[in-house]
Amino acid sequence: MAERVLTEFIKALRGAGVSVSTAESLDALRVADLTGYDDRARLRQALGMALAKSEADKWRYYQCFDDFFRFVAPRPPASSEPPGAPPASDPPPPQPGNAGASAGGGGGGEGQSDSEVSDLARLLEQDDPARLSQRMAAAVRTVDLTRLRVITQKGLFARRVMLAMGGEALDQDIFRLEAQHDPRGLALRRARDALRQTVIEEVNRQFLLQARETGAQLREQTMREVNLRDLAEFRDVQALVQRMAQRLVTLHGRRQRSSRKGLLDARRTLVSSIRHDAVPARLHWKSRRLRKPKLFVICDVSSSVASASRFLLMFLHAVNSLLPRVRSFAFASRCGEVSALFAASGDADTAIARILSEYAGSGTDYGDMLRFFWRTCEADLDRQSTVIVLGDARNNDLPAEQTVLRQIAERSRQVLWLNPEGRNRWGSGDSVMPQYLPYCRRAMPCRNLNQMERFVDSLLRDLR
Amino acid sequence: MKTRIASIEEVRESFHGQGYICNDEIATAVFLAAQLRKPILVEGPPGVGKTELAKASAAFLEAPLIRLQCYEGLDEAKALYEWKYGKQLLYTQLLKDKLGDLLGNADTLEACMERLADFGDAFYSDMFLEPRPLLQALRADEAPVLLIDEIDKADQEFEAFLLELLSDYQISIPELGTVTARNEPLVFLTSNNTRELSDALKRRCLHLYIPYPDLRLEQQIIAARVPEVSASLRRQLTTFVSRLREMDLKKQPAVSETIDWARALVLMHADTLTPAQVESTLRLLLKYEEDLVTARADLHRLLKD
Repeated sequence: MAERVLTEFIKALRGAGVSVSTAESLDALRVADLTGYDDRARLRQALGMALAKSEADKWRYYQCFDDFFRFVAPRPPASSEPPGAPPASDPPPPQPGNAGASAGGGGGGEGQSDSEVSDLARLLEQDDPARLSQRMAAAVRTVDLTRLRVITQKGLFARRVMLAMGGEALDQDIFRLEAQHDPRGLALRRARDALRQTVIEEVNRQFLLQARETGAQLREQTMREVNLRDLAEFRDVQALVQRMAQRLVTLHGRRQRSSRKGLLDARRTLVSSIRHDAVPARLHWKSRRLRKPKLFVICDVSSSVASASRFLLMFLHAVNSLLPRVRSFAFASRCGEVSALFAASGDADTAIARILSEYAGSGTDYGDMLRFFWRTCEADLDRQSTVIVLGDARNNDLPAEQTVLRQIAERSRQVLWLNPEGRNRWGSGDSVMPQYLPYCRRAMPCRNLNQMERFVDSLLRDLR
Repeated sequence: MKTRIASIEEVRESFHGQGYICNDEIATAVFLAAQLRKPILVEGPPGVGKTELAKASAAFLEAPLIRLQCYEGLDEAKALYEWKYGKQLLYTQLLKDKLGDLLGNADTLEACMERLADFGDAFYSDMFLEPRPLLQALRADEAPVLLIDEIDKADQEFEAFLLELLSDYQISIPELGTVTARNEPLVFLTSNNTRELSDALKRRCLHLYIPYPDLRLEQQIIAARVPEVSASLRRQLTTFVSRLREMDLKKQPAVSETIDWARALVLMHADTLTPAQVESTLRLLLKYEEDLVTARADLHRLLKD
């Protein structure tokens, strides 16, 4: 029993975003055996040590624990509350196993006399919350809410739980009593509605705990693949971007550390060993030449591309610790440097919001932007510079000025172009992408978060 | 090492007796780790007593404490074992003649090689092995408490190297084979969170997060460590420190710094906190000039009752 509850809890925990391995679940079982189930606070702490292994996970774990065991909590009073028993005195209510079956059959089968009502109705009239919740727990178990997957199933499952509790017999009771103009009918109807509400809440809670696991995966996958333009509709997209960026930071941060040490410089080691009778007493290491890369980011923030720019800036801000010096520019109808704006606020969102509000507009002029960039950054560009342009290259039939881009490309190490449109649309209509393509070391579409992540990943690898 | 621990309360009382004041969670963690024989990873801001916890546990379990301080570039040779190269060289020099005799009467090259092979084993034996903390812990006659301090400072590779030790209490040495622990040690790993540890490592450990203590707990700690401080001063100074921790500082004052401060105030015969005293001793709490400036500017609010 306890084991089952724990496995279900772990499942819910995974749904809440805490990754729990099989070994850790086994640990949790052993831990629970050691501490026992009596002291709730202690169990909560002890399981936390075995299951949640970072500060953020701990927080999620405590939330989830409190959610999950809320329902179990009212049970003890049920067993230690004899006063509720005498009037009922029948054996059926406390039998959780067959509650659903017996109530359903009993209510429908026997022709009941006037005052006789079903178990459930009697429970409702006695207004015994402890026993009701016990009965609901039993019904939930027979219905097996773990099969609940998507949100639209909630109504169906709530109804099943009601049925398993003996809802059909109850309905008949209400119907019969109301037909006889018995005031108990109205009272019962109210009690039933309240009960239904509780059941729906319970099903909701179970949904949050159980189905969130698969639901969250599905959701994340959707968010990664949906077009950036539509992504604003998702609420937790920022958390996802943070998580993706964090993963990149861990990955690349680690790689940086390991490559710092360098390789054995065999030639120098041999040369210096001659002094010691060819004993390599001192080892020499190849030291890596320090590169000081610079990064220039130019973002089109006109209405059609703003969302993609937003996510690029978000990504770059999140991996900031790994990046060299970044100068960023925004443009739509006019162009300007936004590095200061970005550096000033530690919070990416406010910075991006300000950039968008300040520069957003329509009528992009890529030629003007390139000239502006060349004017302001010519002196700063060198062989270590990487220039990233994000834009759809739709130039409103203005001159493309690709010669300026050529100058930029020749002066810097590389120009990378991100286009929020698919490749097949490059060059269609007023797009001047083909004119720019020869000067870009790489040009790639970035329509969704997956592509964005891949780009930032390759960028970080490249800058190392 | 003590093998049976009756209850979590026993752990906590022993800690209290040693002057290590802790909450229920920490005691539970030590109890579980000792009973399950699982390593325990302790995280938290610097100076909340992570290392102290290992020491207190060793005292409680009546076990020797073996400590390995991690740093960048720490490798197997420094953590696990090393050959005593100097001794090996010295022995070969001293035994040169003897070796010459032994090899001299061998007729063929093959025979020489064969004899040399026998020496090889002699020179790579326990005699020339310098055990470092990890190997010491594995070969100890009595189960020790092994403290691997500040694991986050060590490299990623070292972390991976520890995995075998943490899950099976054994380590493979190429020349000697696998060394299994004679008595399984109780392992404490501490981390200041300067970098994220790998999931593989975390999976093998129980995880304990020690935050800064709350007001009440910190007062108890001060009472235990600096009993000379009066109750009213104790309350004042812990309030002051907890307010400091809420400020945006480069480095927040740790518990150990609160203790130092309390000791200094005792030396100055202070009964209550006055702005002048705080002004002159604030350096004990705050270690950066800019933090000092920030705190001084806000001194009146911090001292307000």
